[in-house]
Amino acid sequence: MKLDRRQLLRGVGGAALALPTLASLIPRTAAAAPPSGPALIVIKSFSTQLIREWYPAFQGNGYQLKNARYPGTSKADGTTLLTQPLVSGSPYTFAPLQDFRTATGISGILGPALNPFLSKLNLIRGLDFLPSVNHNYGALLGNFSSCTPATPCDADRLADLPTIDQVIAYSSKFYPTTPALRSLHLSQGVTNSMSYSNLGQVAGAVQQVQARTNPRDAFNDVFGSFMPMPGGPNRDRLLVDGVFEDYTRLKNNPRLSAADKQLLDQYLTLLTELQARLGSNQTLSCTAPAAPGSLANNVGTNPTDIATKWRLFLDVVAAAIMCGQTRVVTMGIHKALGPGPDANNPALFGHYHSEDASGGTWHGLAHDFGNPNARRMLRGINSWIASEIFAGLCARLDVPTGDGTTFLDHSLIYWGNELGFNHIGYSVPCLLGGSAGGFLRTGRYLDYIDWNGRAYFSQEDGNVIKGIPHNQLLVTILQAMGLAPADYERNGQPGYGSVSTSGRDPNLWPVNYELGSVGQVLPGIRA
Amino acid sequence: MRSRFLLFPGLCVLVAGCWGEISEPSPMQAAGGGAANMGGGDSAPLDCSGIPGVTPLRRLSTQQYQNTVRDLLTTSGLSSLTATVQPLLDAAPADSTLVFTGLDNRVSGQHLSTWFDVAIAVGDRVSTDQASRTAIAGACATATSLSATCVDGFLNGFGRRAMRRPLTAQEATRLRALNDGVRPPPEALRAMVVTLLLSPSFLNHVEVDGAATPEGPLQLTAFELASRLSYTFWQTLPDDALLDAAASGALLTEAGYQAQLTRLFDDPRTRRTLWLFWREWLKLDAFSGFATGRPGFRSLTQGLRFGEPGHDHYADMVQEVKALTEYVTFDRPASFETLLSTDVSLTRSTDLAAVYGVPVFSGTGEPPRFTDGSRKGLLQRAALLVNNIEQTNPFHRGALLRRTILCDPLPQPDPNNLPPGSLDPPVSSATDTTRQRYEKKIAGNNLCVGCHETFTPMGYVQESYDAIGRFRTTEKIYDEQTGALLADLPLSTSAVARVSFDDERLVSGPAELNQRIIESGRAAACLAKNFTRFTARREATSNVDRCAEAELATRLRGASTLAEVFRSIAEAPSFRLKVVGAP
Repeated sequence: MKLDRRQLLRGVGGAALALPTLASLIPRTAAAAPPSGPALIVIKSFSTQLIREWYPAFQGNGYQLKNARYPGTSKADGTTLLTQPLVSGSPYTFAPLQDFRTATGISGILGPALNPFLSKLNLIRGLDFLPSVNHNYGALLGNFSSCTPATPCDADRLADLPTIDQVIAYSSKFYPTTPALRSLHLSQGVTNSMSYSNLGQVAGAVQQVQARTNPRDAFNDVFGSFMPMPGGPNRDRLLVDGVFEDYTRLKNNPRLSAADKQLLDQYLTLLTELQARLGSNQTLSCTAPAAPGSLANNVGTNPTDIATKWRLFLDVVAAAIMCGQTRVVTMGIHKALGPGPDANNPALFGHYHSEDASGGTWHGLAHDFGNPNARRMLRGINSWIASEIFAGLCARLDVPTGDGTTFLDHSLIYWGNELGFNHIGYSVPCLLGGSAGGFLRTGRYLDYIDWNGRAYFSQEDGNVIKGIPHNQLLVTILQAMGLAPADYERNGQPGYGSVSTSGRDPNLWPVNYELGSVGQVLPGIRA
Repeated sequence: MRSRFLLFPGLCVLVAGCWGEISEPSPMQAAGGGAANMGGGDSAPLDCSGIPGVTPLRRLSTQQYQNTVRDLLTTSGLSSLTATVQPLLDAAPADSTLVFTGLDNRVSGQHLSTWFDVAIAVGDRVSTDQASRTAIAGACATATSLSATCVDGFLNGFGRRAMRRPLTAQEATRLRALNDGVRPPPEALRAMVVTLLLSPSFLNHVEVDGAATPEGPLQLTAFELASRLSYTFWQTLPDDALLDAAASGALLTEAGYQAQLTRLFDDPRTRRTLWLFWREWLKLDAFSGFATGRPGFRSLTQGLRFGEPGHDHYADMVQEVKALTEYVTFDRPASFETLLSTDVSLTRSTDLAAVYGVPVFSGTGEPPRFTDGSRKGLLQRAALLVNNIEQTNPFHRGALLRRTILCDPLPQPDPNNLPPGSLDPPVSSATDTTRQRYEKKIAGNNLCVGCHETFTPMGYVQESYDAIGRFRTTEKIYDEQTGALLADLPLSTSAVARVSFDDERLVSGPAELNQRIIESGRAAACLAKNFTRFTARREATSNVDRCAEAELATRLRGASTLAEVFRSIAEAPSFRLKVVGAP
């Protein structure tokens, strides 16, 4: 099927096409062929994560809580003790996720909506951000120097790196030919995404990627891609070729600075991409779904608006993956639903975590973690993300591809958090969905904390005990997407992302990590 | 049952990031100088010699791009196309509001996608609609072939508007070549339109044609100056009159320049631009809305219709700020001091008037006044005081004044360097006011006190206003979960506010705080700094830049009207210069 971008865009320009959801319009066998490679979908939640609520607190069937092993210490945090060694000779442990399955899910936050997918998940504990971060944009994807302007941190001194989603999106191994869309970035309320990009130019300037906040714009990014006009060579390609020359001529003007020329290089890179699309014979490999109506950036916290928009976004994401239009997506969950302050009122409230952590109720709740009522609300917000966003995405993608697998199997859904507990960058929670086309072994809870090691610091949920560098998760994802170290390593440094612990007080925080393996995939996770 | 704060960011603000003991000058004081002087004693005068800071190549901001396309279509007789193009313009990525949107210079695939879609949409209309072709190129465009004269007419009209200058010979040659005899006239015109709308000179502020001055900077050409004027005051392309003034050379004469400047400043588009400035400076779009579902909030706002359909109190509050700034700038031109001290109430909203306890302003004649002394000037309007829950946040309020209104650096702490519990909210109580709870939280904590002392007292003084900006003399404490009234406590609003860091005088309440802010001249300096930043779309990087800010601040502290000051931004010599950065 060939679509004319202009026809499509004209079609979605009218409000009359507003539809409540796309889901019913995406056939269960929408794709004509299995995906051409794995897909990466990143979900980011914000502020403190309630560690004790995130991980199983299951007893029975031979499991006991850490309280039994470490009574009277901060390690007695009420979560389940794992005992099966993950890798011989290491303190890492694991357990099958199915062992913790209950009618209410596997933990306070990871509720029953995830139960159907447990065999396809990996729950990970003990991933540590080595650089000293605060509220940030891109740490979970390798840009540690992206603390928000209002909350600077020591890691800000590090050089900006592209986030791994952008390394992947601009890799010719991942996309051998120019895709319809290299990556899709979504959010509500906040237009700055978690991603940083140099547009694939190794020495190019790194800039923060902007997120789409309107499902119609997201849809147009995905399905309004530059399709060839019916019949004959693309007449616009020739025009863009000429425009490219205009930019090249301007770049040669001696009255421009090096910085100006760097900006023009970005234009040229983008124009090159456009030229490639206009010159290709791309066709949709599936039935195009109908376009959603326009829902402008929502500045408020109306629960219906938030829920509707996330449903539409997820539909666009699923359709994009299943139709092969893009294979990289990030979603910043700045807005979610959760309970309100009255425990007797079942109505869900809209909660907002602003970009600079200065607005909305969510961040305030996070700071009030010692208050049971605030914890109840925080747990509810994250439960909603687990069931509506993460499990919702799993459900949309767990559709047969025709080769005995599903799109979920071919994907890697990564739910990470801005920080761990409070502002602590240690033990940052992680839930993975899918096996990235068989790269990962799934269905397990992996714990990389050395529980017999020193507990440096603890605060409510925040046990700081040395785990494993988060960098190894980045390496795992990069390799799961088909990249080799030569495709992402820089300056001879193994792995990806900074391992600097500068600014951390070694009396308060673990700083001495085994960096010899920082360039390796997480132990025991590969299939 | 406990009732605790929900919104509590930035509880403990870093000592090391501030400036230690309260009696010490700030780093900006120590650096000395002009507008940036914190009012804490003498400072060495700036050396104003040298050249302005580097003017980087900037793309049109998203708002400028949207305005430019719409205005280009309108002035070119393609108004009927604007409805078609609008959804495409709406898809342009929004610029970041963390600072001023104009400082966001990122380009991305989303930008290119929008630019391309818009160019194609306009081109397609031109190619398929004879009336559109006639509008942009004249009746000659309907002929079976496009004559050279016809093409040149198009380039001198639509082309000149789009490029904001006559096309260079090279550009004209390239565009004429698109009329190659193979493309039929509709297709040739389409090709030219698409090319122009994707041109670097259309999408960017390209200033490379001026003559070099002996000191190094480039003197803007008349057309570059016309564009700078137009985008500074209108956020859009120059109109034909301004382009004509550039073409005739009149714009380069002092009289001609002043005539155009007056014309531009008096245009409604300047109002819109100035409102954009106030909105972005005061971050009026950042408020995420009232938590009207909270039982406590419902109790606080009982009878005021918060959260009811058709009642948007915050929008009314923002509208009031708009009305106030325009009233002082345009309707009754007055000084910045007047803006900070006037007791007029301009709200035309029944809802906001009820919060304020004043009559609704009819829009004509003399507006009502806050006759009880409860509220004066811009800084005591509800939009700058609100919190989204039932309780105030004095830290936020103090930080807004310190950081946004006075331009003092106020970095947040790195939580990794704080002991446990530092960022926990203060324990709630039915026996303590908000101020008392916050004071207890930081009392005796040496890591926090030094910095908090620089901004928190200003927030305490503003405890005279509740979370919706309503004046009060007591504080009602509500239960978070039930909304029940737990207590009604007397307020204390006196504090050593230290608007200037060497001012140890006690401030008794918001009226006196306002007066101290005016007297310090520091809000004027901050406004000067931000307005310069907003209009230049860059940071001040040289002494010449800082001197220009200082000059503006001096005028703001004096008797000049706000209108005169805002207009004067285009009267600085540096406005007509372009400094190229390192190659």
